[in-house]
Amino acid sequence: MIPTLEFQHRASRGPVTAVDDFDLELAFKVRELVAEYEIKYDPGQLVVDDRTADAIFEAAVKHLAEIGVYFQSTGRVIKYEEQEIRQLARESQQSPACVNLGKGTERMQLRYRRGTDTWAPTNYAGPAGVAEKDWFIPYVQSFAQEPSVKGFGIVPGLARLDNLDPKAGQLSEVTVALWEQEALREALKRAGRLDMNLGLLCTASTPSGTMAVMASGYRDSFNTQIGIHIMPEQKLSWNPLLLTQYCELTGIEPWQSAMSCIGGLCRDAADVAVVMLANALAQLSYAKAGSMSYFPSHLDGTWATRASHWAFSGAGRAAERHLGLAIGTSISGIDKAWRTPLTLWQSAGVVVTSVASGLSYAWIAGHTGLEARLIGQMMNGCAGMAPGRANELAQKIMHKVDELLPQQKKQLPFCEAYDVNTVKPRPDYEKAMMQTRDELAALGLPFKE
Amino acid sequence: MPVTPNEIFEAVWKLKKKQAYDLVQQGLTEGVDPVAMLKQGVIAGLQEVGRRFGTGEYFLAELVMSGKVAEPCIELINPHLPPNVGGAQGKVVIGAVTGDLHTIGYGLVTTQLELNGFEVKKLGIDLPSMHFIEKAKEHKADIIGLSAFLVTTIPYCKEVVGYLEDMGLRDKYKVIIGGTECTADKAEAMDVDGWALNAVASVPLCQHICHKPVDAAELAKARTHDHTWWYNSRRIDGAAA
Repeated sequence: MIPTLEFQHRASRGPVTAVDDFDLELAFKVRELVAEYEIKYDPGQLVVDDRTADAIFEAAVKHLAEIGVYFQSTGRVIKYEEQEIRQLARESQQSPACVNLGKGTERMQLRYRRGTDTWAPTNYAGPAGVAEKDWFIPYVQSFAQEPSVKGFGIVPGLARLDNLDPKAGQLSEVTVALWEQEALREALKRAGRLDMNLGLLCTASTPSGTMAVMASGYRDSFNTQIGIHIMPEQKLSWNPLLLTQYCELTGIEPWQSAMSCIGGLCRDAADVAVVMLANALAQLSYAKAGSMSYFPSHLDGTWATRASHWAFSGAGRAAERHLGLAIGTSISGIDKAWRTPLTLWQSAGVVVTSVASGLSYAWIAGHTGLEARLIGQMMNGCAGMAPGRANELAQKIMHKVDELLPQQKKQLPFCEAYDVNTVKPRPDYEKAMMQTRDELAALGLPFKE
Repeated sequence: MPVTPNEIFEAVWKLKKKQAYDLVQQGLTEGVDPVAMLKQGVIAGLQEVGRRFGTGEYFLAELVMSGKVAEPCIELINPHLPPNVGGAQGKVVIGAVTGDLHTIGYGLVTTQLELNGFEVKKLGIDLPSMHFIEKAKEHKADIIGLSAFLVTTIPYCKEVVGYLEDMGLRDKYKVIIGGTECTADKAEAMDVDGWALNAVASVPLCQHICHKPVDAAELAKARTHDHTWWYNSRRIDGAAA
């Protein structure tokens, strides 16, 4: 185990490097490694096999050992020895994750899970995205009132509170975040679930803002996660390290989240799987947490594609076989598909491929309570599905996504999907979602309560 | 046989740094027209890299690399150019605002603008608002580019605009914003000069607000969902799209 304080030394003494040079080294090293380990993105096989998963793990270890992590605050590179990376992986594997969150009857776990396990991933379905003051509470309540939702991985953030913009590092960051905490409490109260975990603070993201909001008493270690993640591609700074230290002192579960972009410094899903796992290993080296969300996206911000499914599966299966972490991901459609049938189709693609690849929890599951419920049913139905069948089903789903995607122009606002007074789905929206569920079921996707 | 601009073009888009540098050096010794070496060689080579990026043949690493290939070549050619033939479309200072640590987006905008003849100074991340203004003055910039990825960092774009207004500099610099949560509506509300959906679309935007010719096809693309840019017609005289 590397002590957290050791990172101060490495961040202050590592080689001074221009960021462009680091980026180039990262990009060309991953190309070299995917060639050496014969890792090939195959859109025809979206659930990655054991050999490829092991190769991704080996390549990720080598990549982190040879490239390190760029420390933005000092312009230096944090370096690792290969042996210490292998050691932290072994330690993680020997203590499979079981992260306890929530309190009393709302106690829930994020547990290490294999793709072949017949128990379903946890529905840790946060009401994500930017919300407005008028519908913030009903939006959150729509999730909290769903019994299958065990906790929130994330909560929404306000873009503006009356005339106040939340500015990172200023007074308004805390003021807006406190309004959100009060509103969250009200939503949970209405749903009768005050002890639920609420995940990330969202608007409070700086160390000072986070600590101020934590000190307000709305949040505690049982209902909070704090983001300490490395930016893509392999960029770290003092803030995540400070927040890691704060998590250590307060017993809060650090929110680890590995991300990489397809088509950027990484060319394709194979590159992304390797760099995303190297990113995860680096976070594990200082945060030492049990849960890890993966988010492979394309450079234009889209996801839920064949390439992103493959990248998740590759990094997910590598973690399943070598790290013992609880792996999560965002299960939803792209922005313009939110609260439309396309979002369920895209979510179904994520569910089928990720559950068979060792998914432990849905960090986000759609953008209404109804979608979270249906995605939960998909995860229940897909648990234990053989990789071959999962791949076959994923191909059929993606074929339908290909058809729908060009027709989709814009998302449906929450207020048009749900009646904000009764917090019930509006009939047209509910009908469209249920019809999509029936179409998915007819295609062979099992839904299970 | 003297060096031809086409040989330089080939070396640049194929990312052969030493070869490109050697060819330019040889060309200067042989008296080859420096304007042709710059425009038909180096800049055309960079544009070819941009084209290949657009078709998915090249990636971000190649874009970054092409800048490293071109930079020493341009440094060699510059002293030999007649006045006002630099060919720069405009000068841009760009970076991520206070609290924002995301690098990929504004790095990509930088590269796209450089590929298309803009002189761009990359300032870094998590920058105080005044830093943008100081650097704009120092580099005699035409445009200040502000990158903000998060809801909690977007308001810092407005802060930069506020400083410019209060310092009586608002009309001296054009301000553009970008980032995942940045939208045309937010750009309009902040009274900035422009916004683009992605790095590729930032090029016609900057050309437009610098009163440079914009390709007709780009104007057409600006009206599509996937490749749009927005300029503030209240602030830019005679602009039309």
